[in-house]
Amino acid sequence: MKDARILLTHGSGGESTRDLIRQLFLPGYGNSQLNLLTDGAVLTNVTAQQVFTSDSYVVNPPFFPGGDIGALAVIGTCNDLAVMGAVPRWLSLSFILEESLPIERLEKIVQSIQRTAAEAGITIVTGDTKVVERGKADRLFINTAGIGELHIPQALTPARIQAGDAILVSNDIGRHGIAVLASREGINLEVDLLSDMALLHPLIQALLNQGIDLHCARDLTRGGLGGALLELADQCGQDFRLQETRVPVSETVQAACELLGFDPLFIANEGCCALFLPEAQVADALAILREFSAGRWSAQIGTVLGNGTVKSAAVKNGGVFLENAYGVERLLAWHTVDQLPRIC
Amino acid sequence: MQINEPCQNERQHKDSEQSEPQKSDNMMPTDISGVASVAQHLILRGEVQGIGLRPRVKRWADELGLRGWICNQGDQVALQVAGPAPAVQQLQDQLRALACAVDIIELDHDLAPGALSAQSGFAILPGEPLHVDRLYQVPADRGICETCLLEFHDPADRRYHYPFISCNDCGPRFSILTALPFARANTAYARLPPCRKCQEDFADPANRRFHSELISCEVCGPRLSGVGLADIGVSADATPDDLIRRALACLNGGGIVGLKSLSGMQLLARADNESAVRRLRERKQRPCKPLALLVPSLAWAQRLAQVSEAAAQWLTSPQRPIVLLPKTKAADTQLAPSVAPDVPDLGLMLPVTALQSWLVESVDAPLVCTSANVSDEPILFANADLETAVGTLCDFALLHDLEIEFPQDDSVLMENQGRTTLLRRARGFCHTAFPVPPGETTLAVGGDLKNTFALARGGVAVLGPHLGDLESVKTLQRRDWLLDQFSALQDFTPRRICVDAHPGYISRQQAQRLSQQTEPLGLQVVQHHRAHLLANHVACPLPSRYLALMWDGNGYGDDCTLWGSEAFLVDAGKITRVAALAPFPLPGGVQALLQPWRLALSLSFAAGISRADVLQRLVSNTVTESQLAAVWQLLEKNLNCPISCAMGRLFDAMSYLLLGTERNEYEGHAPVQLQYCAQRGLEDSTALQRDGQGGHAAPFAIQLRTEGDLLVGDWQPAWRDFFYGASFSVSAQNAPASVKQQALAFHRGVADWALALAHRFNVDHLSLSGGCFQNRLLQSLLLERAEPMAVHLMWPATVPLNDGGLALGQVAFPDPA
Ligand SMILES: [Zn+2]
Ligand SMILES: [Zn+2]
Repeated sequence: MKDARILLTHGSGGESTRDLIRQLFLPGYGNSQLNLLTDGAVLTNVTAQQVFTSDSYVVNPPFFPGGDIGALAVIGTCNDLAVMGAVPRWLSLSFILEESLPIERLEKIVQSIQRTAAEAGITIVTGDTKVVERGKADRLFINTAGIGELHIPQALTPARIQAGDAILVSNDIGRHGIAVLASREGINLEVDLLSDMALLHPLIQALLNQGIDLHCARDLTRGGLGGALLELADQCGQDFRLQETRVPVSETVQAACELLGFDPLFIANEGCCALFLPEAQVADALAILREFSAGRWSAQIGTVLGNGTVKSAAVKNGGVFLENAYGVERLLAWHTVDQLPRIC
Repeated sequence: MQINEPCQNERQHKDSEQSEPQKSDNMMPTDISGVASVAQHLILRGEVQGIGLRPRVKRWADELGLRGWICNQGDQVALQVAGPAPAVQQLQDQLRALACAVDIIELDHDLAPGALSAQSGFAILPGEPLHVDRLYQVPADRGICETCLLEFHDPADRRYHYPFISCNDCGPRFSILTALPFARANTAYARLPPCRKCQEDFADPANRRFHSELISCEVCGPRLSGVGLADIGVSADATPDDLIRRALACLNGGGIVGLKSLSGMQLLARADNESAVRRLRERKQRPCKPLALLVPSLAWAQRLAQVSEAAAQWLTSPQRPIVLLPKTKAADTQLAPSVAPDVPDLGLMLPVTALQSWLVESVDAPLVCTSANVSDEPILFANADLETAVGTLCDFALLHDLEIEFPQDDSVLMENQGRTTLLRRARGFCHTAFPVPPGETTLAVGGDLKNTFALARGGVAVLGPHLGDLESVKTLQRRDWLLDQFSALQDFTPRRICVDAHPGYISRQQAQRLSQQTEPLGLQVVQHHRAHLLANHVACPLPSRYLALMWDGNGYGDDCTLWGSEAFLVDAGKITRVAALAPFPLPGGVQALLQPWRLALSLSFAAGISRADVLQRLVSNTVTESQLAAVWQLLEKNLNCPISCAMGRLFDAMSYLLLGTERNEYEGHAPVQLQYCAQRGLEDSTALQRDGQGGHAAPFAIQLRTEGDLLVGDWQPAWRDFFYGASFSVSAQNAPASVKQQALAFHRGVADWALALAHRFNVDHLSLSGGCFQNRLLQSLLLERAEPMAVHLMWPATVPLNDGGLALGQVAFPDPA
């Protein structure tokens, strides 16, 4: 299939579609269920509570330092399940391909999906392929749905966050967003920076299995750490205090953010989560996390203050307060994508 | 009493509104001597609270042999007076001579000829609150008067070394107010009943404290206390003299004293002790922003700075602000280098209270005097807060037991050729009432920086005190709390909220939330520069057609870019944006505002200068070629490059081009460096002219270009000339002559542009606002150029041109209903 490209007929549902599936997808990530090519997957051995999630992936560029859109689709879906406390099991994966996409590139993505799914221990049980005319999609989109199994009595949810909880971050932040941006815009960062893409359920399951009373976890994708915490504070109605100096950020990311004028707190990650757990278990949790390469720079970054600790009309439900090195606290607020400067 | 407020256009404005007392057409009865006798009910409004108006009127009435009474009604003072017509007229004339305080003398109605005949003499009736539909006038805090100061230093006086000495002319008012009208029971003095001796003084018309609401002495007044670290502990029965000695020892040993002043806590340190000043900076987290000085006397001020007559009036005025004054050469030898590094001006103030005076006179040297807080946080005012700050902010705290209800920083202003520019509006100013068009009861939340709020009801607006940057959580909380305090005092519930258009402003998010509360309120968005314009409109007497130049560093525009060089034509109430600078990118968004070198790079990029030239020319000790190359990439790829046309950014860029100012250490830092350099250039060129030599650099010629409905100021050719022609220095103080001349030429070019606009639109009034016009040199150049063109430059004396005045303009935004 060298030099071959995706044609509109590949999405027609006819012979070419079946060829694409048989020659590309099944050799890539086929399995006894998917190989049946039935209209739906039959899930067996379902005993525990199941967690069900769905996501779509649109990355420009599809290949970026440290990964590609295929691996990202698997990891992203698994991480959505992971932060609920679940172990990923089944995955549905659909492509929307742009006409004329080189099949060789699709092949690479399929291989990457296969490798990542194997690593994650998730089985791709169903999927679909559509092709759109040139210009209607930017190369390719992936849509997924994932099902995971809960081995704990209760899923991790914001409602379980308690006053006094420690707030941890599982690794240093900002690498994915900056790596993708630098690669897309061709910005020379002088240092190689890779996406932080990593599976989170091994870390979270390790914490749960070793007796950490995890209350809530949230992956820090779009909107970054700042966005996730603002959302959680609003959902659980508690105020959070973060210590700016304790948030792990690599020198490269820091320098790139300074150059670009972005706040690392609002840069996307793909292998990093915020964790809420009792203050007394922080040391144990960090010891467990740091055994994983995706948890190497894990750190406590703040605490949950409680409900309504700051009385101000500017703080709705719950607020996030960022304390700088001098102890001055500022209110963390949503930064829009085009962060417009406020200062004079 | 002396009211030496140097009045500017604002005051004239008020004067023009002053309604003449109507002449009565009634038949006047005649007394036995043949002189007509009248009886009138008069209403006095304006700043009639807390200035000892009633005892003064009583004294005058007694002298004139008039009968009647006077009564404080909270917002206004009512009086009934009867007697011979000339005497009644005389009383009114004397009242009108107080014009700065009493704006309005209104004849409510004539009384029946026989009225008040049963009354013997003239009485002061107890105050009675009055409900009116407008905001109430509140009394202003007043710095200690000369007479009280003399008594304070006179060992024979009953109030010798009594730290809380005050009288009808001076003392705290607004800052300790719990309710209106101003009366002892409605202040922090309520729980301190006057002793028998003070009661006698209060009741004695011959005493200068006759009817002085806050009369007190060391027997019955507030108590001074001290808190030190364990090793300098203070016993509870320490006398004021003991405590002052402690504080003195602390200051003289290089320590920092925390002082509870009139309206908030202050930090003091000897200004001639470099290590003390550095410690203070470290503790406050304020590395370079200039610090203000408390000086013992006017003579001391004159030693350190050039004090014009107008500046001296402000220094000694009841408002007692910090006044920015040009440093003398002697200042550098008398002050520690860290007090005000690399700036042309010194901020000086005279003692506001007896306690401050006592301390600074005992030290007999200037003291650094700054609000007690960590930078970016609000001023402390509760005893507990300063007590906990002993050891972190200060080494010794001098406190008292009077509760502060309305905390305010010291106000800061600038005098330039008889024109006043208020930079920080707080103590002594924030009681002023402004007339606005009547409309819904309105709250304006201001901007996010230098935040203030404003309230309006019944055609009267008040602008709250300076609060600071809202990003600080403590400032946010203070703002909400203070707004509650104001609302309680004024019995205020808004029906409409006015807010800036910037979608990222915390103030806007807050207003949106407030507007959705139980009772939904109207939300009115007011564009940043139109708010600046309206603030001037409220506070200056402007004709119906004029041009408004609103030049600052950043404000959200109608087209979602960041404006800041706007010219609006105002014609019969219609506001049209007519001119602005050609826009340019801000590479790296907020970083571009902190790092002027990015602006220099951006302007060069926009002006079409080659990358190679830019990298070569803009490299400096601190900005490397690779940094420049990296930011050049952002410009080429248009990555995080919001668009701006703000004049302040042009000053930033020029400051880097000429002086290598690579970072704005505080707001306006780079432009101030440039201004400093240019001022020295002006001194040089005056000298050169005297010697019959030239030496001028060609001005930075901004060219007019029409783009659709807008006149665009094209700065690119001038930037290219400066880029290739300019020399480069790394110090504003020791810049070579050519650099100073170029800095001056830049200022001249900017002033020329302003007047070119006035000429183009054929206006004789320019209304000026925005931080750029706080530039002393730019003001002078504008005044110099405007005069021969018969163009009047208008800006208010008591509303800041920076974002501290924004809320006043917002609140005055016409109510569409
Ligand atoms: Zn006095
Ligand atoms: Zn007394």
